[in-house]
Amino acid sequence: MPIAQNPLSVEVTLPREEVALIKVEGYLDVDTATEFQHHLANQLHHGRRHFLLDLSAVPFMDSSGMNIILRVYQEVRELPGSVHIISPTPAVLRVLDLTGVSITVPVSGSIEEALSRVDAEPEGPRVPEA
Amino acid sequence: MSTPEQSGEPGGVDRREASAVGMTPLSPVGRLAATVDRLSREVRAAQAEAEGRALIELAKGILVARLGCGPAEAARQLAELAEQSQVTPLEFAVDVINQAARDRMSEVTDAFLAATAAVRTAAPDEDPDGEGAREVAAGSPAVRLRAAESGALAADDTQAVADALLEQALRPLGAVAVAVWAAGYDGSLTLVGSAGFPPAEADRWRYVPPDVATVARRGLTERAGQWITSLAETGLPSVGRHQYPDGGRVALPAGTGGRVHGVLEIAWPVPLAPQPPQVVRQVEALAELCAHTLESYTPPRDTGQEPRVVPDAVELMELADGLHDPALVLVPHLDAAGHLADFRIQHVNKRFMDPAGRPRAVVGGALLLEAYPMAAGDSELFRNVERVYATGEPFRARHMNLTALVDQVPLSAVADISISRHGNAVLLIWRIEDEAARLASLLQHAQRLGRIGGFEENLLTGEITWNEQLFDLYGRPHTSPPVPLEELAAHAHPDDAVAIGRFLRTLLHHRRPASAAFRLRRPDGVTRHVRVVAEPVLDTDDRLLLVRGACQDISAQHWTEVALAATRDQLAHTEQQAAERARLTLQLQHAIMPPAQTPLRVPDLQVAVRYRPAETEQLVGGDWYDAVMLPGGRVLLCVGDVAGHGIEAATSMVVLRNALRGLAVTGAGPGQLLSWLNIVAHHLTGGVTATAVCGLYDPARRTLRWARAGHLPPVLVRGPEAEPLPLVRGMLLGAVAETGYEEAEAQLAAGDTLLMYTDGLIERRDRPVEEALAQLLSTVRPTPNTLDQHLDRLLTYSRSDTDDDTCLVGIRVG
Repeated sequence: MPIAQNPLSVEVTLPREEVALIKVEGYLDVDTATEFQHHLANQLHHGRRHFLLDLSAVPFMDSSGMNIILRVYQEVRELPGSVHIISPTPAVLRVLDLTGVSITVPVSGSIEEALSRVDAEPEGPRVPEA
Repeated sequence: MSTPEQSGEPGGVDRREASAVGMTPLSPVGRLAATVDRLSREVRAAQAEAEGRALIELAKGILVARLGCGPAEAARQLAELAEQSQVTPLEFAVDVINQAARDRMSEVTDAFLAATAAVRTAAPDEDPDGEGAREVAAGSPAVRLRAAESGALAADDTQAVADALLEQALRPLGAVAVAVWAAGYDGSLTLVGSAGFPPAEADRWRYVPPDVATVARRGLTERAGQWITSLAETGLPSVGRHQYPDGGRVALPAGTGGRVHGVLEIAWPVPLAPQPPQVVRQVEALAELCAHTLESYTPPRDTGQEPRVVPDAVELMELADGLHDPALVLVPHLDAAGHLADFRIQHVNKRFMDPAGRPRAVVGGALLLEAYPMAAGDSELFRNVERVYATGEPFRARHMNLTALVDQVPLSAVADISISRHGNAVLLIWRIEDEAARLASLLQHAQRLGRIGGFEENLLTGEITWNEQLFDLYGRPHTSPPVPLEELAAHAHPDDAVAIGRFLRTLLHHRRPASAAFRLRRPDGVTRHVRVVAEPVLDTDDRLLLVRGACQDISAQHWTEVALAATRDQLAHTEQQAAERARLTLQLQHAIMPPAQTPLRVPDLQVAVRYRPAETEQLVGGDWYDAVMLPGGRVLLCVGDVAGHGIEAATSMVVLRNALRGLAVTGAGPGQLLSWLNIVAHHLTGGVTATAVCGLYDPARRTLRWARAGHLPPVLVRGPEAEPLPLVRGMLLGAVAETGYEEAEAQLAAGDTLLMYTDGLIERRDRPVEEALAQLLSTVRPTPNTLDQHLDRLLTYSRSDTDDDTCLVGIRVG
């Protein structure tokens, strides 16, 4: 297993007061999931309610990465808040569809699209369809 | 041998001549012997005559000076006065000389007179001398001694001195042989004159190397000389030992003005009783007599007869100035009587630093004992200088204690001492122990490598020397007083007091090298881990003089070691724990899903399952499969994968697998089953998520109704084709509290193979799972004959690049 050969890069910006835009670069797998989780937990701790995860530079994501996304989804759901996935690569989108995570966590094509979705439904928890 | 006689008088007949003639008067040998003896006698007579003339000449010289007359008049006066005094001119000459000289010889002569008178009274017949000798000796022993002196002074070699001494002064004392040794500067002895010993014996003993214990050697070092009753009792070798094994011996240092030039050794044929003081003083006088001759003795050299270079004080001062150690040039200081009283410090070189810190000018020119009165005390410095001056034997010592008295305060210093004689001067070199400085310079280099601070602690003076690094190590300014070793514990962590105590005990009590590691608490609050190594230094008396050593800051090393040790322990513990957990997980897996499961017996249907654990034991985790016949004939087929690895994942897997089996009995469809299973997963502790695919095969209709929860859909292998079933909607288990699952139904035909698997089989980072699956399925083509073969091959050719465990369930219709 490749370890530390593809270090994860996580960059956090704040387009809105309670919105954290998190751009991830690198493989989201068992080796990097913990680091990714720390970043998310840190933003939660600072009161961000909406998480925009830009995965356009994530070529691969395994169940560990997906579980981090699900975990933050479960956390912000109670606030209420939301999690959005932006521009996933085909492989990652495939995993999201495969696991059904895309059913619960909306996938946007751009940051603007994700932001507009945040603005559209800020009040309450999003009720999953299906 | 004959005794000296007055000029013109016939020599006496001695016994040797009589015996020689009487023994074999007519034999050629006897004649030859007689001739030799006669010739010898003539030579001796001439010598005696010369000696006598020398005395008379000396007396004449005195009269010339006293009476202010010419030599002829003096000679006439001497003759007349002798005639008037009823003594021979020779005896009168001796009287004149004695009165004029008033020297030691005069007193000794008086004593000698008394002694010889006593001897002669006690045993007049044993007088070894012949008649002629008796004539002179009985009448005037003073003449004999003076004659010996005169002969010694006139003799141009020490051999003549020895002859004169034996014949004129020693035979009356019963001695039979005499040896005169010259002391070399190196402590060797050279036999420069002897009488009474066989020539071969004397030749054998011509040179005695330094440090060979002989009688003469003893005499050289003992100021009072050696008075040996019987040579055999001492066991000491010496010249003539075999001739006179039990005889008495006397060996006296022959010196003048405090300087010993050699040794006078006298041999008796019989044991020597303790001698009266008069005799002792007489012999001492003779030794002094020898010294005058020895003073001018030049040891023979290999290369010609170049004169021995005797550096005077000036030369020595230049030499001293060229030395890198403090050096003093000392010259003997004689008292009024000509005895060595002290040494004057003629010169001190540029490197000279007074141990007491006085300026050079104060020390230079002073007398040694005045400048260093304590030198006469314990240190024995003066005694050593005196001895070197006397014997010429250099003295070297390490760790000598020098004490200087400054304003009545004794100041001690320990020094390495070198004393050597050069000509008439003594060079005293001392190196005040600056071991610490040298140590420091050495350690300065070492310090760069190991952060080492050096120290030296003088236990007598309490003086402590630290190098700069040690001050730095202790975090103390360079100007602050160093910390004594005894107080080390006060600067260390209290818990280290025991270790430090042990260290000090080894070092100071057992006086052995010791080391200890302790936590140094610096004034700035920083704690450093320090290792101290020290060794005791003993002085010549085996007393603990000082302690020197080094401290090394091992903090970095220490913490590295501590960290490594902890990590090692942790690793060992973790490894053991992990191994146990992995083993447990695997056992759990095997208990639930035996690798070789009893085949499920369903009409017209092959069912096979495979489970392959991860290669790395720790990754054994949460994959599961199930294939059971449900009531009503349907077959439950399921593959699942709990996220994560290890014991937690395996436990969750067990829960989900059993839950599904239980739920399936209700007869509900796969979508409903997964919906319920999601609730189970969601309420499992730790918010575990899992994926699963669940199918219900109806053998009668050959249909598979299935649903999936975030899992890869089943693959249908039909002929050469292999296609995954469509991706129906279904959220993975446990992510949300409640969710629904889409169902789908597949119609199977005879020969169809349906595969369910976990992603361990195909997961790759570099390509989509579909692609990986297609690649795998094409590799395993044409479809093997049996389902088991098919599954085995799939596992074999699986090119997953993640070391994950893998489950595989397959059914084949037909």
